[in-house]
Amino acid sequence: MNEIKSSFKENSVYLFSKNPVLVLGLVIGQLAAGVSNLQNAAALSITYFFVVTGVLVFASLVGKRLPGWLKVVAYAIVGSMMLVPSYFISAGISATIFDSVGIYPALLAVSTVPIVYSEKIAENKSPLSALINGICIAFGFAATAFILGAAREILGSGSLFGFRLSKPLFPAAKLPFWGFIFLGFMAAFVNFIKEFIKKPDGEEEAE
Amino acid sequence: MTFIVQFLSAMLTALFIENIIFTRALGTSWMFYLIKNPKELLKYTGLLMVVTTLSGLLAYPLRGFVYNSEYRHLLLPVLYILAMAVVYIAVYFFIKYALPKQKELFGLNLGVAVFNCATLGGLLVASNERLDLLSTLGYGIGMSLGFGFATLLLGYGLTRLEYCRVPKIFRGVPIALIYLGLLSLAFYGLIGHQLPT
Repeated sequence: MNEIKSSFKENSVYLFSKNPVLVLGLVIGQLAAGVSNLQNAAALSITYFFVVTGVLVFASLVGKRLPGWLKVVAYAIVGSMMLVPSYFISAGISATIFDSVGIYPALLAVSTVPIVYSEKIAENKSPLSALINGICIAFGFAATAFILGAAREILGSGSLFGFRLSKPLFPAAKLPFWGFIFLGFMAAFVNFIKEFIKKPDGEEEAE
Repeated sequence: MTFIVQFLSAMLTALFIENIIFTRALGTSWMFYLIKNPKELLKYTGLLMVVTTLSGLLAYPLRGFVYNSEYRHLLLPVLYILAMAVVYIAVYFFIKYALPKQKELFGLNLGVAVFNCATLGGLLVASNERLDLLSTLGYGIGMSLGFGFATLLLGYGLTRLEYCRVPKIFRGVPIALIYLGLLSLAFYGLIGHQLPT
């Protein structure tokens, strides 16, 4: 129980101050081009959850027993296998959801966390600790995806989760370059909050 | 002559019209790493080209069967990841035994250079567009060159931005993303698209 509590406390930084997308700059492409509405955000968040938790737990269980050159192959294959549960769960939201997201869920299987960080993060942890780590990273990703998806759906289509709210205010918001620009402003907002929290301690940094 | 035109057409499409970074946002995390380590860009672009073309070649005979399946969203990535794994193992052992002095040069990032969103994304796009074998090879080469080109362009701009007075909260990831977005927008207009109204 103590391990669960301390793991959640240690990894809660991935929700905000070390958000995998807005602070660490990971998985940007899938969000900028793949998340143009809330349905896509849900499909990508579900997929990322299964891929990251699956690969991190696998890495903590068998990572140290694999030869170095084989690890990345094993992690990529396990990541692609984790697309199966996410495909069937996402199909519960909408049968054609994977068609509308295109190639982006599949790319999460070879994204930076499962391929690069699984070795650094998970191999020295217990499976439970690796699972909690994966959950926190996936939730950090999902929070960003849902905010971005909601903003782009309202502006680009005038709807929210498919329900019509108004006429489209800014249809170009659905294009990839607006995804980058939105994410840039969201990342700046995170920095602003971090600075705002830091300032009462008198840590005024020189410009 | 037709083959050459077909090959070049697919290559130029991937290089400019469907640039992997500006139009599909693939491989951006890795691109930000390469911007900080420009010496690795040439090595990485070359590896990306080798892996994309060889994996596309290996998977091509099975692609048609998988694409017509109801579960193509699950089977296509597995097919390509297995093809990439074969290429990775072949390149790894080739470097280990044929070029032992180069081992240190490639060893660190070989896995990451093979298994990444740019490689898998390029292969999935080529299969979704039902490109034939020659066009798939041309697309792979053009995509890799397009990745190198976009990284150089972004790296140059971001280096210049370091000398500008960027507000504190926009420094780092935020300004890099906004700059990437503006460059993508410029590219979108340059190739003749118009914004939806």
